[in-house]
Amino acid sequence: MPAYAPDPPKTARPAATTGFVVTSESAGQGGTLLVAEGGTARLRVKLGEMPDRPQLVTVRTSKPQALTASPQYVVFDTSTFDVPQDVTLTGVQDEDTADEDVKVVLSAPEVSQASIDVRVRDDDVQALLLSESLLSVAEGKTGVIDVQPKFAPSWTMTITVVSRNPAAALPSPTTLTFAAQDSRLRSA
Amino acid sequence: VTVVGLVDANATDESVQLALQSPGLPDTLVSVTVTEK
Repeated sequence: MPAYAPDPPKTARPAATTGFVVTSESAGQGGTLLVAEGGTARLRVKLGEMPDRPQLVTVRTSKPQALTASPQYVVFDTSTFDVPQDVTLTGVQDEDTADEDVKVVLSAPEVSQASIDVRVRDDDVQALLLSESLLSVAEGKTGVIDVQPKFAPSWTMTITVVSRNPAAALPSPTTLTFAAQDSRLRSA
Repeated sequence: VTVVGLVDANATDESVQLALQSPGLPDTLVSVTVTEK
């Protein structure tokens, strides 16, 4: 994948005297920086022009539960404005299988705000967790198996239960449904 | 999921596989042995 190159800042405040210059060697796709869940990407940040006075830059992410930035503050002054400073973005592990779209916003009193689109690529692979994988049932009796998704589903998850020898054993119900972002069992 | 062992006319235990199928996932299998009364 190509290295990430952010779009130019889309907003500029009238009082701003300069803008951020942000680059990354991490992979990007269509103007969006890609970060693996549990992985990191490095932003290199500097100012495009010398500020009149030291600038405290705040780095925040729109979904800190999905992506964190460190450090959360960096300072540029008249002698360091064009020396890149590193900001490390870390994709946070979660309990679902969905990618997360996050904005990283850089802001400072006299610098045009920069917004960087980041996608946290989920590394979780859905599977079913069973209370039993081996079950013994007497003729005319019943046994129970608890079933749940390993991760909260990103969309409604339907499971069909089929007996490969319906003359010997039958399941009930034959369809299980788990709502999106929910691991509570609903049978149908 | 409740599994019902069905009564048959023979004296042999039966081995059955239950398949749990969901789009996008490989089948998850449960091995069931239905024992004779």
